[in-house]
Amino acid sequence: MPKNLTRRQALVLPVGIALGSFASRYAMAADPVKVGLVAALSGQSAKSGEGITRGLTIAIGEINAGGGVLGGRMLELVRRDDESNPAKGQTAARELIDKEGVAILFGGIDSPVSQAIVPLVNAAHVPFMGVWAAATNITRNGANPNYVFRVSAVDVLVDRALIKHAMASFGAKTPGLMLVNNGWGESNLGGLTAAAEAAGIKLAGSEKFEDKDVDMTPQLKRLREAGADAVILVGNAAPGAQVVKSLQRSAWPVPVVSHWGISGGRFPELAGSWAGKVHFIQTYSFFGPQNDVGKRVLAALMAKYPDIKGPGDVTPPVGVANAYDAMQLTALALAKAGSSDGDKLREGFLNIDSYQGLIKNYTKPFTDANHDALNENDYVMVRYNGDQIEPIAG
Amino acid sequence: MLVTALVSGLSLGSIYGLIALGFTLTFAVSGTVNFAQGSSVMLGAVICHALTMGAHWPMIAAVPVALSACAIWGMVVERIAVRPFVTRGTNSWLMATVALGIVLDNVVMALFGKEPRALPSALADDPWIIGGVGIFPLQVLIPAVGLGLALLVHLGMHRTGLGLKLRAAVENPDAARLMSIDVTLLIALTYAVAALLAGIGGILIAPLYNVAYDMGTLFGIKAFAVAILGGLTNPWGVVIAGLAYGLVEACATTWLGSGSTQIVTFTAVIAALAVAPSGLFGGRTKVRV
Amino acid sequence: MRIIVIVLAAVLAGGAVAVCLFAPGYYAYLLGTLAITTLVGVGLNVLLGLAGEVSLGQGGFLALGAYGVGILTTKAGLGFWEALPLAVLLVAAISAVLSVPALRVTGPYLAMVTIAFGFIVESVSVEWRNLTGGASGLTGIPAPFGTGGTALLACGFCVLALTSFHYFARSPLGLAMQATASAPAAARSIGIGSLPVRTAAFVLAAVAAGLAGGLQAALTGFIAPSSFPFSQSILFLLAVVLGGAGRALGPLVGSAVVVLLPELLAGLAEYRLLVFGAGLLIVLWIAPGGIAGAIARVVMRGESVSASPSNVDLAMSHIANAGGSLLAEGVRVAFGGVVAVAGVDLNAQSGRVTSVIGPNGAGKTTLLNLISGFQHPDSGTVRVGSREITGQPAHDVARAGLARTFQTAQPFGNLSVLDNVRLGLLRGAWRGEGPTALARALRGLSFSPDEHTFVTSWVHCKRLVKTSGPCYLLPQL
Repeated sequence: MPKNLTRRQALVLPVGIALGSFASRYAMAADPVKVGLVAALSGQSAKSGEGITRGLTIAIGEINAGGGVLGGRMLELVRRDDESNPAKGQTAARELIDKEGVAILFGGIDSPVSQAIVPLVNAAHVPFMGVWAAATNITRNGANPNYVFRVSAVDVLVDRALIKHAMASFGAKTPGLMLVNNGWGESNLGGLTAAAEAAGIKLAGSEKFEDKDVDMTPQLKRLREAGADAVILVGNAAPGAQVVKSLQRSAWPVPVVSHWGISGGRFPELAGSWAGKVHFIQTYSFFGPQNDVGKRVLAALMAKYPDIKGPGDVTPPVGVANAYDAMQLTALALAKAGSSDGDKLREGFLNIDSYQGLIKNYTKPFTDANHDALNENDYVMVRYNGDQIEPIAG
Repeated sequence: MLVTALVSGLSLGSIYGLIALGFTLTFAVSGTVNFAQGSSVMLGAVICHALTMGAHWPMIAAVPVALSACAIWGMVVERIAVRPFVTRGTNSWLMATVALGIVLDNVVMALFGKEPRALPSALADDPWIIGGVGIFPLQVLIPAVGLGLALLVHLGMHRTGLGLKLRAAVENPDAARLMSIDVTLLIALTYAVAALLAGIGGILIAPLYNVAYDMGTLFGIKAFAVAILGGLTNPWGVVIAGLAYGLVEACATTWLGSGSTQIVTFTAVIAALAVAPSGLFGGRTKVRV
Repeated sequence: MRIIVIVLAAVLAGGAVAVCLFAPGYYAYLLGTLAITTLVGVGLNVLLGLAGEVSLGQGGFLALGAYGVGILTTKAGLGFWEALPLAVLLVAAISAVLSVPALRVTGPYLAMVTIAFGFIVESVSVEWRNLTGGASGLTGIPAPFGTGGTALLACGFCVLALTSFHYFARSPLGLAMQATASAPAAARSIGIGSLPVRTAAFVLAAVAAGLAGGLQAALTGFIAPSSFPFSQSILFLLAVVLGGAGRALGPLVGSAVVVLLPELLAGLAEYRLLVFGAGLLIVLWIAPGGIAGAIARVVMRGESVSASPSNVDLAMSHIANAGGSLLAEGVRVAFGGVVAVAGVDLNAQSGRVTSVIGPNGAGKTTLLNLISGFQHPDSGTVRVGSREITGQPAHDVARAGLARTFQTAQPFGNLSVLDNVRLGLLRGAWRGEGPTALARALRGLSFSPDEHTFVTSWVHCKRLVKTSGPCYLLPQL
């Protein structure tokens, strides 16, 4: 057996693969319509990628069972792991668009990754649907035509909700900010400052931490000395957990109101006994009375995934719910567009009239002025009870 | 603020010193270092986690098993990534140990998973409040264990027969062989001990830092920096260098913000090496022409 | 053989052009990434393959080059073609500064310095947010030609680098690097200063990485600190070793494996590091010459030494035609309370053999060390001809015309006999041909034509190789 490829083989192999990929891209009829997902499938936010995958899968299952899209073509999900790394996310997006030929790209939890992909999809004329990452400038990116849509929270609106909750539930008058040191944290710094001003209160201060930090006691001490009576947290599961542990170590029982980053990973396990004290935001909860769609989705989840035995096991609900509705809206857009061409699909989204969805009933979800389907009325505040996410009454 | 910085610095520093001690041991006896030492840190924590959280063993039973695994791993590294290249007379053991570390990290990733997991400990739950500053009991235990182990190693080297043989092998390997000291076995032993020390470090920090397949990389790098600063031939220098490094790190984090920590510490490392190329405490090695 | 290589090169070039210009953007992007990785690999090949130093911080120089171009184009409004050379110059300057502390050490110490450097660059790029865009990085970096064209540009640079390496490895400086890596003391003894040579290797490696970084910034249009993780520096090292350190095509082969293999095994992408780590181990164990080395062993049997009669007269006239005589007066050195050499006078005439005789421990080797610059005398003078060489370092002494051999002879095992002789004749100069005819003549004195090209441990051959360089001889007892 030859030790190495012969020169001819070394030449033919890559050319053959390239040709094969071109061929598959241009093959016709009865071919699946591929939809791509670039999300964190590993690392501290792996659970988020899993949740999004489940939401998309359930929706795709329903759509395909009902005859597929564009006259009988089945939907097919192709996933890539961005490892929460913007550069990797960009490469994955390129690959999915050029090599796999996806009709639309779904995004993941990390705002920096989505922010890196946005210019790419706008240049490639392929629609991008955010289902979690909430940075304001992802959809409000100044491009015209704008190919980025989102069924998820928007930081500028979330920040108003967080301030409101801190004031209403904890009577906070001088909250302090603990923000992760990246594009997402920056997006919220702007939003929280504006929201506090609009609500007529002052911030005690604003501190940054790195995603990989383990000890936030210095920052918390400074906030405490500045008179913070609540902490507003923006960060993912691992650093969020360390913030809580640092609070526990400092024995400072201050109320904590958090953005939803912490729900993307194993927050209760990593944070320990104080995890349940944190109030955070979601766009949906599977607890309580559900509409028909909710009941159907929950049943499908329980049937397909053995670890889901009840509404409390759908962790995190955000990824699942957002992704489900986003996929269904995509199917509607495809129907309106009549093709999987990027430009037509974009128009298709803007032409959707209504959709009775999981999170809510959508009427004209996307317009030229607003590519975000959800607003602050769709948010709900929750907390962890053990490993389950429960809504907070009132 | 100063007290918290001191506490964090000392506890982290003693972990670095512990891992660095392993580097010093192996370098003294064989002139090689185990660039996969960080993986040994991770291995101790991961096995401990798997046994206590996965198989529900008590800690008392899990720790010795985890540490034995680390010791065996150390010997494996020496046997397959160091010895073949030393006998050939090349420096490739440097890259080989790096490669082996990567292999272990990724095997663990495949088996353990890609998410960080918690290793809860009663010593890292309720803090002691001393003078308005919160300290987990674990943060006091760590430097105590670190210094205790360093002392143990020192005693082992200077008060036992095995230690005598080790020191002889360090001084003059050829003469040692002539006196029927099995230098090869001793080298394997030092690798095992080094990995063991690293594994202890990993288990100690797991409740504070969480357990992940890549938790050891940065620890290994910093411990290596500490070993170099301490001089790869001086065990006590290494311990002191470790504490100093931990303190510098903690102070930089507290007062300059955690983004600048690595800038400060690694610049200090380069500067220290510029001033003292054999490490701050290391002796000059003579090159015989 | 030549024709096969030329045809192959033409086909590959044609294929590259076709992919870059006509295939969907992702394939051009892939090819560009391959070219960029190879470019870094060529630089690292100079540092590792020639000068024998391990660097785990090439990612830092890559990042510097990328940020240089990124910042100059997006913040200072320069065009790509102005930004690129400036960025490369910046990288060269920074690497020269870093080399001051870095090259005082070697081996694992140097590895540590390079690792530290990589982390510093990463942290600075996160913290210096006004300049670098912080963790979010820089977007909208202009490409000179669009994705396909930029990828083609990268391929062009890559080809240039690979060919340059081929000629560089044979050049005086390249040979000097290999000599320093192989036997540092012996290299000093024939006039090759270790520090300047290793500095040159270090800077060249950095410049290659910086250039690659600038190209990467243009190719992707977006850079952030997370684009340059520590694992990438390890991958560069892997590519060079896997491909074959010191071999001209080694980086290309290694980079092809590192960049293209994950594409072929897309489903197992998360295990790619595992495969690479294991692959590196296997290569180190059984094929230290890497893939290219293994191929070379199969494809290229050793060059047969030409059977043409050697010009013995030319060689003998060179050896006999010596310079001035060696004069040492009152040379003395003491180590603590022990006087090793107490005021020795030595007059060795040119064209004659002078012997130094003494019992064990008399100080013969010490005397030779003092004269040839490996140790400093406390007092006394040493002259070659009219030129004083007292206390000068060995490589300067060698350039003055004095060299020495060692008790355990140290040829440069990784170089051919011819190159060994050429190096000696060059006497540490970085430029110049090194009189090949003379070298061949000298080599012919001791070789039969069908010997293997690489030096074998022949005491006789070594003596000749070492002593043909300078114009004076010091025999050993």
